Amino acid sequence: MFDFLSDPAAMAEELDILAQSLPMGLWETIYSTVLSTVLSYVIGLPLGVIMVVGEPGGVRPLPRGVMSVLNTVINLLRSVPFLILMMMVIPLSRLILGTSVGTMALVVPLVIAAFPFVSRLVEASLREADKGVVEAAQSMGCTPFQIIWKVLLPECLPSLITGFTTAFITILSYGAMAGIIGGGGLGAIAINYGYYRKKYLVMYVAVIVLVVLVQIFQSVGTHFALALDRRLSRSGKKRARKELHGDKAGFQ
Amino acid sequence: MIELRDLTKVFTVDGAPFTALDKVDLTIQDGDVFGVIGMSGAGKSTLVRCVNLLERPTSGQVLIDGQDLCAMSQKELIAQRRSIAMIFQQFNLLMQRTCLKNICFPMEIAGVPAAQAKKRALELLDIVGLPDKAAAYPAQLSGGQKQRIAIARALASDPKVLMCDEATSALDPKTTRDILRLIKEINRSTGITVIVITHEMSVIEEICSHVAILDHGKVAETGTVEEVFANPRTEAGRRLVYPDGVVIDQLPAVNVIRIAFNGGSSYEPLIASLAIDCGVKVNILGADTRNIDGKAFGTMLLGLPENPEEAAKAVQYIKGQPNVTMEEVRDYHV
Repeated sequence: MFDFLSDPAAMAEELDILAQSLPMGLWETIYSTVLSTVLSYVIGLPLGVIMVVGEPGGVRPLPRGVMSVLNTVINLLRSVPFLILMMMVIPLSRLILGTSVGTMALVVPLVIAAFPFVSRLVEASLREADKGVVEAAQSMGCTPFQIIWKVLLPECLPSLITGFTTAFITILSYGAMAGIIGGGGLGAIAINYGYYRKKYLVMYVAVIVLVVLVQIFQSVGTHFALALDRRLSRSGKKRARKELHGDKAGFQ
Repeated sequence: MIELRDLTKVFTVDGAPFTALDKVDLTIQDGDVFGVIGMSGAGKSTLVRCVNLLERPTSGQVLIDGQDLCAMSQKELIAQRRSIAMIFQQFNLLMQRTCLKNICFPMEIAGVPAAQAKKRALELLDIVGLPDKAAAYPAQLSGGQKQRIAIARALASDPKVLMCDEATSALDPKTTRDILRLIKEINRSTGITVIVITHEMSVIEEICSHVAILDHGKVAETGTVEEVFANPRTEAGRRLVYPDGVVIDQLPAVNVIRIAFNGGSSYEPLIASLAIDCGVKVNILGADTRNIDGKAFGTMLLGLPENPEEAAKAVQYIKGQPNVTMEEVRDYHV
């Protein structure tokens, strides 16, 4: 497995592969992750808001039927394993993009897997909102939309950012899996060169780059979540920083 | 004027109906400081929440200046709510906004231009005595300061009514007094109608002109604070005006009187004078008195001597005192 250490020619070959493919792989990983995260929030954020405000006794209750349909859809999508889901949405990717391979095609299953997850993250964040503050807003004559836009979302901003970081990193690591079905990015490099063609140096470097990416995004996310949290004192922020470093692994 | 007519609110708790408000009738005149007092669970909070329809009454009417809130469309109701401000026990400030932005909030949602809102908010910060806290976040303030910001926020929409839902219950006694004084001051200077919800008689004595005693969802008594305080006519009323910790059943059977201090000079040594001037020795069974700005408020339970002549003398003497009312405590042992 570590042959490349004793064989300069093999090492040179692997370094050559890295030099050629790594920058592109890194770029593909970042843009597919960013695009998938943005699209997941475009669908998942409003859905998460509806799950909170639409329940009985919520800010804008919706018919029970609507709520249970949404709930079921979210649960169904979240219970399909990502590897299977990727295969299942191949026809859909073809329909939307005309192709089922490449980095763009990877975005389709990622969004479908991630938006229900995102909606649950958003829901959990918004449930932390102080009921009394919502009541105060109602007593001031806020419309339901004003309560969502000016009370719920801003008051839960730190928690929403923490959730966003979790979603982003989960999408990043799931995107790496898509190398198997012909998606691009660092995951594809690790699988195609490293695993299938036994270029282990390439595999390790690709994985290390992924790990570094996760570290960077987590730190940036935690930094913003705490910097924008106006409820904490300075010492409280230090304590919270320690507590925030426990992470969920996966959409399920 | 706020009129509650036959107001009833029934909740369903675990499948069984629970009547939180039972045919409540109340009239609150403009400019009054109206207290609603009762034990926990008496329906006080439900009552205020019915006034701005945060809770929709099961039946009955809420009339504000003759208009029935229950008959209003959502849009009209939202407009009406802007004229009924509310402050809360837990302050309920927006934690992610600065104090200035909190005070701007009601104006923001009502569509007041930002510059004008900011100007008004700065004035209000001045009124509540926190001009230097504009840029502070609520988490950086003490409880009393938070409630001041909440009061400023409540006043931002120029409401006709200010409702205080246990607004001082989370504060220490001194801060409570400061906040009550501020509310009284605002009532005097703007003529705003104030509804005070509390479980503490001292809060009612301190600022209210009128009071309603709520007991198990019903109005047990209502009237001016002096009337109700001096002569409670119901069991619920008596329980509230008796000094803390006095158990009526444990009082001596006869010759017990309750005296109420209604704001006379607190420098008059009433009990000592009674002993010296009449030569009557009375026994203090319980007392709960306060000195508010040099005036005596509160109540005292006295055991009179068994000798009827001496007792009569003492009663005569107390009746002759200004700003003190007395009533006999009925014999509870029969």
